[in-house]
Amino acid sequence: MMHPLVRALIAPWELRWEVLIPLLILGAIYATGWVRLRRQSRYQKAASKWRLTMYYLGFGSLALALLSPIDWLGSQLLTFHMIQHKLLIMLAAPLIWMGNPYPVGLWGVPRPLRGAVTAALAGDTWLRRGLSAISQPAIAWLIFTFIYLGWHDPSLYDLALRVEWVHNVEHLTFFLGAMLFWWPVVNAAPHLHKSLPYWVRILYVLAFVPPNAIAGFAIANSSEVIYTYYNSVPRLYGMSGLEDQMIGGAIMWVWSSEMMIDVAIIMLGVISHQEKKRKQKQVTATGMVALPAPEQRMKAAGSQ
Amino acid sequence: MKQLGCGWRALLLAGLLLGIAWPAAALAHGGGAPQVTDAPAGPYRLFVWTSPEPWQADANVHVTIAVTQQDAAGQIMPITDAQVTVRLTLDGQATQAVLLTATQIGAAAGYYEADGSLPVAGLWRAEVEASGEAGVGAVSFTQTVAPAGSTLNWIVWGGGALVVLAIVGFLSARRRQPQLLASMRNPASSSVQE
Repeated sequence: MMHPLVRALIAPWELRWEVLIPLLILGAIYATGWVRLRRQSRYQKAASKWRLTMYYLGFGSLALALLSPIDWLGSQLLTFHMIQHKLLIMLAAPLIWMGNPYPVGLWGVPRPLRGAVTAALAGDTWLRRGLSAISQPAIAWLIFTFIYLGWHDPSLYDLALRVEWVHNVEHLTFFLGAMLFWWPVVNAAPHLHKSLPYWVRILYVLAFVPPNAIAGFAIANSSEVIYTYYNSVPRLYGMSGLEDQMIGGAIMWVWSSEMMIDVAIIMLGVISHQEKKRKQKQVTATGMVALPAPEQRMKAAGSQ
Repeated sequence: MKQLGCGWRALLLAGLLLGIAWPAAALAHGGGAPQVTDAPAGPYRLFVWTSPEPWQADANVHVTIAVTQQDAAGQIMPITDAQVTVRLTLDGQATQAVLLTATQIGAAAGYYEADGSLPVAGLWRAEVEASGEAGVGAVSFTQTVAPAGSTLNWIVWGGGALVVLAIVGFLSARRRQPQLLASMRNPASSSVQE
């Protein structure tokens, strides 16, 4: 007999129109913009194949989190609920930003809408002012951390599991908060602020490790089931409530912290690469100054 | 024949993918307010959740049921071949009854769900009965049903507010657009006006 967990994981995906329709519309807009930009030039950076892949991988992560059996299992096991949240905030959000959605998407919408969006973001509009205020790196970090930790409060978490619309709000705020958090890290358009230097981005992501690790550690090491809703479900998947909580807490603690550390390492790599290139340029420049031109060298040799 | 724009092509592709996905799609809901937890019911142990919270007259009500059985080793096993019904009766009025037949949720072994609506507000008694090879078992609980339209639908109101905000933003951006374009064409014009 197939293990109930395996059976649940290979079950058909759920058809949730409120998720599927936005995904289809935004996916189609991006595809249209990408094709239009590629028609202008196949070698431009704004609409590369790499960016296209990242964007749709981001959408794939959203679909996996909200439409696959992971969504159902999240209401039965904390472990899968944590996996679902990580997919939304640690994969989908940064991957979508890497797809460069703003300029590509602009090319995918009809001209009047493109003009309206551009006008709303250029100059002194309420939209720009609002976005600028909340996307300041320190504010974005605080908003995301507040949302992230706030929803892990036992009463809110249980409420989200009991009431479907609260659950949807939880996921929406997680995703939007994560989009805000990853915006300055990926440095995607629209650029409402000056780009953060890489070392500041490293500090920005690493600053998230302690609060996340403390919360994850506390959940994983609790001696009783914190999210009591999970006491109301049958333990069909070979895990007790406490075991499930331990794994769920560990996923929260390890996955997010490791993700932040990985991003910091990638940024360090970028800094080192940039430094190497700068040094190479410097060496080439000094070499050109130090070495006289070949004709001068021949002249000098002739006069000797 | 005029060639289709890439936007339409993308939408057609999306529609095609949706058409392929449709037959495989299953409706499964997680969560809900726990009403019965691990209650003995004949040879089974039943779990029942309801949503939304609270129930409302003339609106959809959803009941999720898990039918399990403990084997000789104490392991909890899902019962996948049970017939599950939910009988809802208005308190004190046996004539006001609604019978719902639950169907299995594809994603999870041992889980069943039923949907329906109740005609009037008041205290309703729900009797969940599971029958299978091992026998028949039933549990019951009560639910207070609120009058129709008495609870605020936050999703509708929130969505409506967002739509209104988007329309206001779009209109104000449209009004700004000619001014912005004019100032971009003639940067000095604004200072001349001043």
